[in-house]
Amino acid sequence: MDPNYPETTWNLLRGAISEIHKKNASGLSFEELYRNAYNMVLHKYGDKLYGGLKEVLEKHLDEVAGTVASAQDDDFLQVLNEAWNDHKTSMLMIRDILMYMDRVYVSHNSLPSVYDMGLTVFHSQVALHKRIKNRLLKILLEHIQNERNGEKIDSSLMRNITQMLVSLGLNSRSVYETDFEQHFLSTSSEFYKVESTHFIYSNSCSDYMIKVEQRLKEEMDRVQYYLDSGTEPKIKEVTERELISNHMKTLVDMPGSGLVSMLKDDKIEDLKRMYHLLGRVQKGHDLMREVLEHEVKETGKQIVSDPEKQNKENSYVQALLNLKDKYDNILAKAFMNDKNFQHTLNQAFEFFINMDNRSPEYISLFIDEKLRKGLKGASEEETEKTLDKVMMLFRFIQEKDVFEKYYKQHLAKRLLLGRSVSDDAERGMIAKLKTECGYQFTSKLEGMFTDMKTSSDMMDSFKNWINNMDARDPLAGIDLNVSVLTTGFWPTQSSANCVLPAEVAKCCEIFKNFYLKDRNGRRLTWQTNMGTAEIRAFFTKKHELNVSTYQMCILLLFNSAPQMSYKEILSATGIPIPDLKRNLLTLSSPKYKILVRSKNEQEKDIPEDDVFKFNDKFRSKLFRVKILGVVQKETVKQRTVTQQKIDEDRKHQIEAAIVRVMKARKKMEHSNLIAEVTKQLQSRFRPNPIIIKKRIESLIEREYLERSKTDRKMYQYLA
Amino acid sequence: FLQYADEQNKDFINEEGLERFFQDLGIELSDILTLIVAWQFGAETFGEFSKEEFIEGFKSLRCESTRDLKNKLPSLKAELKDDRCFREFYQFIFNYVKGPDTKVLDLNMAVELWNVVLKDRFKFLDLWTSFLKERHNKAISKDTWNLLLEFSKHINATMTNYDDEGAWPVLIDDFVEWATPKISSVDKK
Repeated sequence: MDPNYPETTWNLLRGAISEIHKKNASGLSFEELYRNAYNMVLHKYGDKLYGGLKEVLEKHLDEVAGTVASAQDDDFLQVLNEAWNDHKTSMLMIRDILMYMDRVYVSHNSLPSVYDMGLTVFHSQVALHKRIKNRLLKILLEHIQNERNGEKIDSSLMRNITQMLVSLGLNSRSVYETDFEQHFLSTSSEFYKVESTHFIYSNSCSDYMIKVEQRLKEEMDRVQYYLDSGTEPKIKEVTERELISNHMKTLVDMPGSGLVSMLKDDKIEDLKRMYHLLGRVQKGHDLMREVLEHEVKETGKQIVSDPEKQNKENSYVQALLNLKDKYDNILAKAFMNDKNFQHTLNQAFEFFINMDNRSPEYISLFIDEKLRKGLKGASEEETEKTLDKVMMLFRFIQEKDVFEKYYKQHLAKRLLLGRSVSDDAERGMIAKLKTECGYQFTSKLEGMFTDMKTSSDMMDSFKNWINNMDARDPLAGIDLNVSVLTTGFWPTQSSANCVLPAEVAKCCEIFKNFYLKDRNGRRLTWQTNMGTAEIRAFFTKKHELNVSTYQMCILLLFNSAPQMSYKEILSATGIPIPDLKRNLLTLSSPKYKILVRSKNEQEKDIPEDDVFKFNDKFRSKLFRVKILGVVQKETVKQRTVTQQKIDEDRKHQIEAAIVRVMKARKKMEHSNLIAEVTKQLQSRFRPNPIIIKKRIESLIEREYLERSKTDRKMYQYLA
Repeated sequence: FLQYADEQNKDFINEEGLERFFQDLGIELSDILTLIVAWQFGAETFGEFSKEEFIEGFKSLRCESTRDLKNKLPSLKAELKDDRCFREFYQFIFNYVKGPDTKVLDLNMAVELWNVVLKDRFKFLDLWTSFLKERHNKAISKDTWNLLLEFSKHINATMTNYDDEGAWPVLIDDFVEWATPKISSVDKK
């Protein structure tokens, strides 16, 4: 072989490459060049070829770099882009020519391929050129800054350059990252830090958030248009951190436009925006929930501690319902029904509703008012809605057993005095309570309903029986309505009895005989504090008075005497003193002046010598005059009594729960027992651990349980 | 020697006889040894021994005469140094003194008993008795009695190791609450 062969061949190829670089490739013969390269490699001159190529490229690209470096700032990117494009084109041609070398020599020697080597050289000679590298970065960042300030820039040019950087890293992003991305991220971070701090101090919260949304969108668009997609999560993180995380607290707490005022003013759009923005960063929602909880609790506390509440219980409950409505709305529309936010709201409500231990009573009174009057004429839907809302409040009550007691009392009055506006509504309410608390809670209430139905059926047969009486019997045709109540179901009453007027007593006897005729072994006790009567009275005109049983007893006395002293009335009727006084005051009050008293009308107490006279000058526009008491909220004294009863009940419940648990487990450790008992009772009330302890000791004393001999903390069940 | 024992009413030794018995043994009535003997004899009712208890008692102690028993007394007392023994004894005397009809022990009796058996064993004994007189004024239950012993062993001098979730009776909880400020004020002095 010709010793000059390699040299000659190489010169030939080198010349060709040079032409390619000068964009004069048209005159070249691809086939000839390919063949030459092939031969060189075949004859083991691959080194020379490869090394030579590298040299040529380096020299050429050095020149290219010089050209690029001397471009003006305005043209810089354009010139660089052109140089890059030219390079790519020529490298492709060169690669095609040297393809054999790529396949055989390169892979055999584990060297970078021709194209890759071209990239590396471009990188080292051009991109890292001392007059190019920093300038390139500076100009790129300047363009981006300008765009942020609102100017338009050439995004496709930008894209080409960034893609070039990515390509220069061969199979990794390292060139792009080091030469561009990391700087981009740090300058962006600086930029947003400054912008956000500046903006937040002179703008409202909602304006700030709108701006943030804008910027976030911008950056995402930027990545899409001309940055590498891998930058997306990184720039997202930077912007979210600078714009949102770092200013969250300031934003949320901003007076006049922060979260609190948004909540107060129901600014749904703003709240929604804040929810979404803060949802992007860690702890964003936690912060919101904290503030939300505090705000709701504060508002709730105000409602609960309102001194006016004492006089207007129903407006108290209504205020609670309104608050719940407001926040339900915000939760649905702004917070997307987020479960964590719901939980926070529930906690807050539970907290302040239970702050006042009269809440259960008030809620029961509210329901009472609705079932007596409020829902009159309401459609079935409206009724459902109202009751469902009240049930939501009910769920927050911790002392459900207190509620049960009051509900029973109020229900009893409604049923016995026939005050319910709708039977369906009543039953609907009970069904809801049953779903919420189980059968046990409502079994007695349902019993009360059953009693009323049974009584009603029984009254039908009683009326028939009366009609079949001999018409000459003086008691024929009496108009008596009796409700027979099963003791266990109805709230316990004190059994004070009064003396019924003779005529009335006789009627009661008749009924009693009728009832017991078929039902042996039962005992009937007349509940005189719960009955009503209709009296025909003659004043200047005839009137019908609708009164309670006690009032009837009092008034009928005046059939035999025009006036009586308090003392006489007391001994004649035997009505319990507080009830007697209350009723006398009602009957002699300016509103219903059926009796005139000797003492001053305004006097709240009744001295023994007070004398009452029948007032035949009584006037009323209505024929039927109703003088019945309404369901009242309890006096402080009554409350204490009720509370005592509840405490007693609870003691028994706790003991029953302890025995139940111990019977099942046979032995249990002290703190586990307390926890288990608390869990069992929590649907009714929150037992105090000290009370549970006392009950345990009481059970030990009564030998239901014992302490283990070896471990004082372990209890054992004694069968 | 059984017959030597004082009997008034054929099958029982009652208080009077008991007094004589103890006198012969050289024990004062207020001495803890009277209770120890009662315990060893397994006596059921306070203030009397049944014939059986008496006979079996002597037998189990391997004594044949009063003098034997008298000599044995110091060792009986020493036995109580063992914790388990003492606990049995302590729990026994509650039932013994209160009697079979009631579940609780009268407060004054309990205080007297404690002063005898827990002297030198319970550092807060005086504080405890004053607390009871001031705050409790009711009879003592078996649970309280038994647990007081454990309490006396467990509690440290400043009451700082008290665990109020520790299943102690509520009465002892109250005691610790009441006594803790008093102790720290004593320390300060």
